[in-house]
Amino acid sequence: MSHNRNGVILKVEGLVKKFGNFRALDGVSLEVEEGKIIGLAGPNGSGKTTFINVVSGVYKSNGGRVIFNGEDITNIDSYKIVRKGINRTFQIPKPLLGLTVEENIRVAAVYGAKDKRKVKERIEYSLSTIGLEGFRFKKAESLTSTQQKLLGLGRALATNPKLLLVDEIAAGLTQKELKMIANMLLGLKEKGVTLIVVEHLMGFLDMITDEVVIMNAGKEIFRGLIREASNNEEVIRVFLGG
Amino acid sequence: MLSYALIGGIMYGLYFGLVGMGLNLIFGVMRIINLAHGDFIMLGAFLTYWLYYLFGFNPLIVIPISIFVFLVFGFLMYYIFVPKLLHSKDPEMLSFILFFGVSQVIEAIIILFFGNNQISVPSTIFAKLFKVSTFTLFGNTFPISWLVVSIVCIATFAVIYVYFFHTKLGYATRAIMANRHEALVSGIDVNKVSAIAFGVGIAAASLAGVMGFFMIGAAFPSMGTDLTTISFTIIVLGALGNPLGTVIGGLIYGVAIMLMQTYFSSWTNVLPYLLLIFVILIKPEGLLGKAVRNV
Repeated sequence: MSHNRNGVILKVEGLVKKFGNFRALDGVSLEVEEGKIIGLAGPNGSGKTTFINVVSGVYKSNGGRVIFNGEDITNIDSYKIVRKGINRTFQIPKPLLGLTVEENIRVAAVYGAKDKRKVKERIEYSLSTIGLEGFRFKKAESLTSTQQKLLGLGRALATNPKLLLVDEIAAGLTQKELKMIANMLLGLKEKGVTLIVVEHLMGFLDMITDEVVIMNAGKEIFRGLIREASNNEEVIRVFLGG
Repeated sequence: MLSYALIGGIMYGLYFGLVGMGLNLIFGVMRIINLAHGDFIMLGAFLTYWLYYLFGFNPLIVIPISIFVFLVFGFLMYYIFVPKLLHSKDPEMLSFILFFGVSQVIEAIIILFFGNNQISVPSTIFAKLFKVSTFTLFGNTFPISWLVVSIVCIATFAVIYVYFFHTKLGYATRAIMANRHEALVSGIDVNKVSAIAFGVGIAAASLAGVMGFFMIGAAFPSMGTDLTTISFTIIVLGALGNPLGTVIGGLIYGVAIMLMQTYFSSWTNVLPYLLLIFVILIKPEGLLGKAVRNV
């Protein structure tokens, strides 16, 4: 919270995303203050990943607005959003196969950052942050799935993001790996990066977030501290049924 | 006789590597099948023919003209067709249908303007230019035009290699080939880079057309279909989606064709289809397999 300057870095208003007749996002509104880590949780199909996909420009929305740093970025191309300072990781790692770890990061450092200087520094910063310096000349396909997740994070960091959208990075990790990633994300927060972390593991969110937003059926149903969420009737109903 | 077939096959193979290169590049970057590929080879041949007969241009002079014209044409064509295709539910199948239509339109327009006749450029054109008509390799004599075509092919492969591995644009192209979404969130303008790759693919096809007179003989408006089939065989032989694997596919195809022409000439025309069926059944990702799938 040391970098919380109380400025709103992301403002989402009435965001709608439809797939046919199904409304994956049904008028979601959300404000995120700069320097915070916000957890985004909810059952499968609640719209968490769709939210990230729309904010990052991978999907076009069917309504609503996304405002980043005061600028309307609704439905602009993904690569332009990246250059404005928003990046994301994928739930299932999608490294650039055939390219080395360093090349994966280099591509992002060269193309993704608004400031085209200091490419080498950003590559080294990303590699050291994710702890894959020793793997820089390895092909991406030779990495373990955890290392591929880290590579996705490193690729995103190389673009110098102000807002990082992290999609289920903790799934399938050991306790030791969870702790490592949690420290990594907290370290990014200390450096002034704002994070939205989509996650099923509430314990992991408890380790890192300032607040959580719980979604269900494309809508926000709760926002607040994670311990408050566990006492909220609607949250309990959504997670436990009944 | 065997050494003639093998050496000749390698030169033939280099040419066929060029024939398939554009199709594989476009497939590798966009995952769409350009069924009009052979028609762009035919257009390259017609451009060469007309520039030769109207202005006396040597095919070597036509090369940069053809590359420029078709690079621009391919770049523009990408924006007309491909983004809409890629947003559809089944881009690969739709690309089949769409580019089949484009192929028919190109063929019809050429017939409309130039008739349904065969055209050719004298095979002696390089002999006149270099003042030598043949060259000898390991005791076998070949036309000088084969050597010229081989050098043009090797130079083209070298340029494409440098483009892929030693340019910023090449990194971006390889990133898109590896994963389009990841490339987007790496900040790459995927449409612009893909449009350039599409243009390069069409330009490579036209270059095969410029050189085609000296390896496969006369050109005619309906030749595109056969050339697309051959190109498809070559890229399946090499590795689908791996442009540089096309060179290997071309070499295998070229040597096989020359061996068939030497020993079983009446079966030569069946060879592309037999190879295609064989490889699709045995190893559909191409003989080089997954290891080199991503360039």
